[in-house]
Formats: sequence, C-alpha cells, structure tokens
Amino acid sequence: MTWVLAFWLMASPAVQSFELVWSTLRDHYWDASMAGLNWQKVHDEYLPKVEAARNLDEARRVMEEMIHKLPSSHLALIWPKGGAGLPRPVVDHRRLGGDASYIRLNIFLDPVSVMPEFERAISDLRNTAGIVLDLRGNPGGLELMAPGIAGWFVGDEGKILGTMTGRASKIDFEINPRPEPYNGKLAILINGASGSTTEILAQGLKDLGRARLFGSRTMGQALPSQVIQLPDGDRFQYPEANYTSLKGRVLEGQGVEPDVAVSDDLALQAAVNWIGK
Amino acid sequence: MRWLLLILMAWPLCAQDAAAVLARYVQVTGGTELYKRYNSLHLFYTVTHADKSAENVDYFHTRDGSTLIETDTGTATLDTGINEGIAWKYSQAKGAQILTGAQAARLLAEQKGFDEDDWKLRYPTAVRLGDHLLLTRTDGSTLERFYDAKSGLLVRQISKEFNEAGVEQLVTTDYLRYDDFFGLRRPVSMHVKAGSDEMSVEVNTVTYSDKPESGAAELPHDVARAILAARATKGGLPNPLELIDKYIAATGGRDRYLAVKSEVVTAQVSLADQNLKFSTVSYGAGNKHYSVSQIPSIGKLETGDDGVIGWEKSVAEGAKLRPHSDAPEFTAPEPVEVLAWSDGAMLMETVSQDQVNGTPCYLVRLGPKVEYQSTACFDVKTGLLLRTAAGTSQRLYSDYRSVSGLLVSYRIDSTEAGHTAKVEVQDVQVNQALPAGIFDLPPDVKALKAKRMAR
Repeated sequence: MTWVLAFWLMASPAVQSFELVWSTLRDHYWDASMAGLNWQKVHDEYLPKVEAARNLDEARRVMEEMIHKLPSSHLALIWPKGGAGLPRPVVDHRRLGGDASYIRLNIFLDPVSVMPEFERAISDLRNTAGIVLDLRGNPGGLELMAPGIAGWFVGDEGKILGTMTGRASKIDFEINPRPEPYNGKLAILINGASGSTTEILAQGLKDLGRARLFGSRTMGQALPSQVIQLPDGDRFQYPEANYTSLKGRVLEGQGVEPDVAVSDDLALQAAVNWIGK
Repeated sequence: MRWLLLILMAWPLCAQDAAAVLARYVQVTGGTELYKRYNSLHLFYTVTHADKSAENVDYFHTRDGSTLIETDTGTATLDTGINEGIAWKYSQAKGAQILTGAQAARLLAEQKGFDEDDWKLRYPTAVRLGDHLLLTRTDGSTLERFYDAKSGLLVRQISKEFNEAGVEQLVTTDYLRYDDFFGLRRPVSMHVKAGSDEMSVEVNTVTYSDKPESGAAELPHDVARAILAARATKGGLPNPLELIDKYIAATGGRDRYLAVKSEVVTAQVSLADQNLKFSTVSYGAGNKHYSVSQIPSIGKLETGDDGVIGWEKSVAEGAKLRPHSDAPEFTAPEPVEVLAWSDGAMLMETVSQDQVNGTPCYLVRLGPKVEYQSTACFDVKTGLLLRTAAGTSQRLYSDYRSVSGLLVSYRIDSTEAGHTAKVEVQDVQVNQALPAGIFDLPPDVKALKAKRMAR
C-alpha cells in the first residue's frame, strides 16, 4: 500500500483527478457493465495522454473524451468557465384569465428560497380551478426537490414519482404530501429543453394520473447523479442511478412524452383550455 | 390391472380439478398479480361468543412468514406468533412460551405463505371430493373446503384446530359476507362453530401494504428473550445477548446506562467527496429524540420522535411521518437503544466472526430476516461496538472517550451507497437541561399526524 500512496502523492493534480474520475466511474457508474467497455483498457489508453498534457486545460479535454465514451447524460467536468453560469432560481406565479393560474419554475436549485416561494404561490392560487406549472426550459437540478414539489399536488401517503436504481441501492422518489395539498387540476408544460429533475417530476405525476402534460418531448436526460470534488479543484458529475417511472418508463434517451403535443407558443393556451373544461 | 389404471388416471384429474378451484378463488378475489404486490397484512376483527362476551383481535402477517395475533378479551391479552420459524405464545399471567410438537406444527402450517395466493405452499396436496376440496396442510392435518360454484368464493371450511387449552377440536366456519380492501376481496363476516362454542367474527379493518415490516416485528421482550434462548448458537459463537451485555459493561455498565435520562450530542459532519461540511446536534431523552443539521445549499434537515410518532423534515422535501423506531441520522446508538437490544426488544443472532479494520469482531444480526436487516459487530477482545450496518449503509465507531462514566464513540465513519461521511463528535452532554419543547412536533408534522389520525 505504501508505494501506491507514494505514487499518489507524487502524481500531478491532473493525474490524481484522472485516477479519481476513472475509479469513481468504475465503482459507482450506474451501469456496472460500463456499457460493454473494457474499463481497465480505457484507463491504460488515457493515462499516458493525461500525463503528457501540458496544462490543466489539455488534461481536462482528455478526461472529457474518456468520460464521454460512456453513453449517458450527467457526465461532466465542472470548472469555472466564465460566462453566466447557472441561472438564478425563479418562482413566478400569477392568476390567468378564467379560473386558471400559473407557476413557472426555471431550475430546481436553492430549495431554501425556492420552496417557501412555491408554498406562497400555492397559497395564493389555492382557490383557482387549475394550475399550469411551466417547466419549459427547466434543465433540472436537485432531484430531491421533485418529490418535494409533488407533495403540494398529491394528498395520499405512500405515493412515489418512480425509482432510482443504482448498483447497490434502489430508492423510491417518495412523495411527502403537504398538510394541505392543492386539489385542483394540474397541467404541466414541457419542451425539449426540460430535463432531469423536471422529467422525473412530470413523468411521475403523469403516471400517478395527477397531471396532464402539454408541449413537446423532453431532453431524455434523467439519470440521478452525484457531484464530487477533484484534487485539481474541478468538480465531476457522474450518474449513479437509472430512473424508472411508476409505470416502468425509462426516461434516459427517451424523454417524457406530453399528453397533448403542442408547440411552445400554443402550450399555455392549450393547458388553460383544458382547465376551463 | 384395468381398475388400477383408472385409479391412477383419476387422482391427477381430481388434483387438477382442485387446483382450478383454488386458482379461481385467487382470481375472483383480486388476481395473483395484485396479491403479489403486497407484503404485509393487518386484520382487526371482533369475535362475539354465544354468551355475548367478545374479544378484539389484531392479526399481523408478513410475506417473510412473521405472524402476530394479539387477542384482547377486555380483561387480559394473549399474544400468539411466529418469528423466524419459531412459534410462541405470550400472556402476562403465564409469560412467554415456545410452542412445540403438533401445536407448533399446526400454527406454522396455518400461516404458511402470505395469503390465499400461496395455496400451493399452504396445501401440498389438494383433491376434489364430490362437492368440496380436501386440502392437506404441511403438518399432515386436513381441512375440507366448500366453494360456491357460481361465484368461486369460499363458503364453508371444516378443520381440526387447537383451542387455548391445547386440545384439538372440530371447527366449522361459514363465510357469510365478503368486501373489498386494497383491491382484494376478503371474507368479513363469519359464523364459527368450534367444539360446543359458537361465535360470530366481524372484520373491522383490513390493511394490505407493500412494505415488509408490520407490527409483527414488535415482540414482547420476554418472548424475544425466550426465542433467543431457544435458538442454538452457530459453531460455538456467543449468544447475542452476552455480546450486548459485554458491550454495556465495557462502556460503563447497565446502571450508568439506566442513569442516562437525556443526552445532547454535537458533531461535525464532513462529506469529503462533495467538499461539504455541516454541523449536527442531536437531543435524546428516553424514547424521544430530535436532531437538526444545517446543510449548505440544501438547508435545514430535521428528524424527530415525540415518543409516539417519528418524523423527518427538510426544506427541499417537506415533512413526513416515519416509523418511530428510527434513530438520529449521524450519531452512535443512544443508551436507550442499546438497553432495548439488551432487553431482547428484537430478534438477534450471532452469525459469524468478522473483522473491522483488522480487528476481529462478532457479527450480530439485529431484527428479523427482512430485506433491510441491520447488523452490529462487537470487538472480540474489548466488547466495544465497532460497526453497525443496514442495507447499503454502514457506520464504523472509534475514538471511544469517557463522558460521565460512559464510553462514547467520538469518531464515526459512515458510508451510504458508496459515499462516505466523517462524523467527529465535538461535545456530549449527559443529563443536562434540554431546551423547552425540543421534542414537540413542528406544526406541519402535527398537521400530518392529525390528517393520518382522521383517516
């Protein structure tokens, strides 16, 4: 063991990161078959390339090439790239014409501010006949916010949004019903830029018969993932489980199909019409 | 020879006929697929005798074979059960009794399998005799069953069963009415003639659940101890109770454990792979506890138990009620939990000798053989608890330090589905005044509880 430790201490941060990325995938990537790849061979192929990299950027490119040999979403090296970064979470709510109302959530992050905002939205709109939950363009975020949001719309205990299956675990997305859930109609708007947690929430509520989905097919990138810290300061996101809906639908690569296929510009009106029926 | 050929041909035909009747019953009462969805059953029914005396019965049964029948006559209670293949009886007057011989075999045979969908397990032999079926149970006893040809439902059963005194008597049950629960049709009104006694049975509630656990796992302590005593240990391994008692002795002794009325543990939790650190405080007193963690980006995570009901709450997921036996998230087993092990509050078995970081330890299985069983490993030499594990999570305990005469682990290395957390205890306070109302349910948890009670 001592020489392994000595090697580890001598290796550059980029090589240490490479080893951690490679071994994390070996041990925790959701598909134990590693998509049929000889993972040790992949290691032996890419290690010299990382060692030969002249700077961290080159090493990152090598590592990205390696991780994308696996055909899954949620595989990414994360480092400060400049630019806008992730959007600030926004919960926007209002009453629409007729007896319908509207809530938009742009990303599932920052539950400390988003969940109280969402609670306020439900409280303000409680007396309307139906809510349109707009998740178009919402790329996902913290998975545990999906059952948290679902709890505002599902009153019965023991319901789930689906199941995440990892190598050593099988965990249900168990919905925690809020003391006073909203009982009116629920329409969810989705599109090709809706992904991950959004897909889990939408498909889960669809399978429960609680929501009707309007819009277009979603991204099909719905693998529950983890983010770990790397020795070179970057972070690494990898999928550690597969998601299956209550009715057995796997979303990765397939996406969520709307109940009513309609273009983005007509989706809201279609949902409002349905609520008014 | 010709007659012999006829007989040989006739028996399989009769058996096939009987199988069709039993399968049809499963079909008309909900279908195999629906039965298989459930893993536990709870019936609550009232038995009223001819002299108007009555008793209430709670019947719990799980797919793993655990059974608990709690009979309350108003003046006394009698528990009968099966755990891990051991049949037992318990009353306050007579204490615990492990059943043996024909009576034990009959109880085990009656409770074989989960429900009527497991008829192949329950009745290894089934034949049709004229207008009824003759079924043989696994103990060799037989019963006759009459099914309605039109509806396919069971209408009468005649069998021999043991009464309270352990005497076998003829029992005739007429099934008068059926009702639907969780999609399955069950008899809810019966007339029973047992020996010279006649009684009516009215089922009040029926609860099916897909969860494997049920009240059947909660045994009277005397029963658990009797079962433990009845079970031979494997290959000369020590009895689990001896190991628990040794652990208690090594960490301060039973008297000191009993003297702990409250405990406050403050700890720092580090999730190295996610570069995340947060603090957690856990309060415990008897069967009540409350713990609170402040997790960056996620917010406050709370778990609690007011002694009646358990709960957990997070900003992201909201609040939910939980089985009240759940322990705090990040700290070591509380003294009250260890004492419960020692009191035989659950079934235990020493299964092997294992190692934790090279130190030999005895591996004890805690609880019945269900999907998410937990284990504890006790240092062979010192008796200290080195590891607990449940499902895909495990905790390693080290750095024992003395607090008010008790040895407490100050370092817990926790692994959950491959992810590790280091818990460093910073402070342990024993028998200090606790903040007022610390175990009170938060308003939203209280509302959930009220909602559940109203149902």
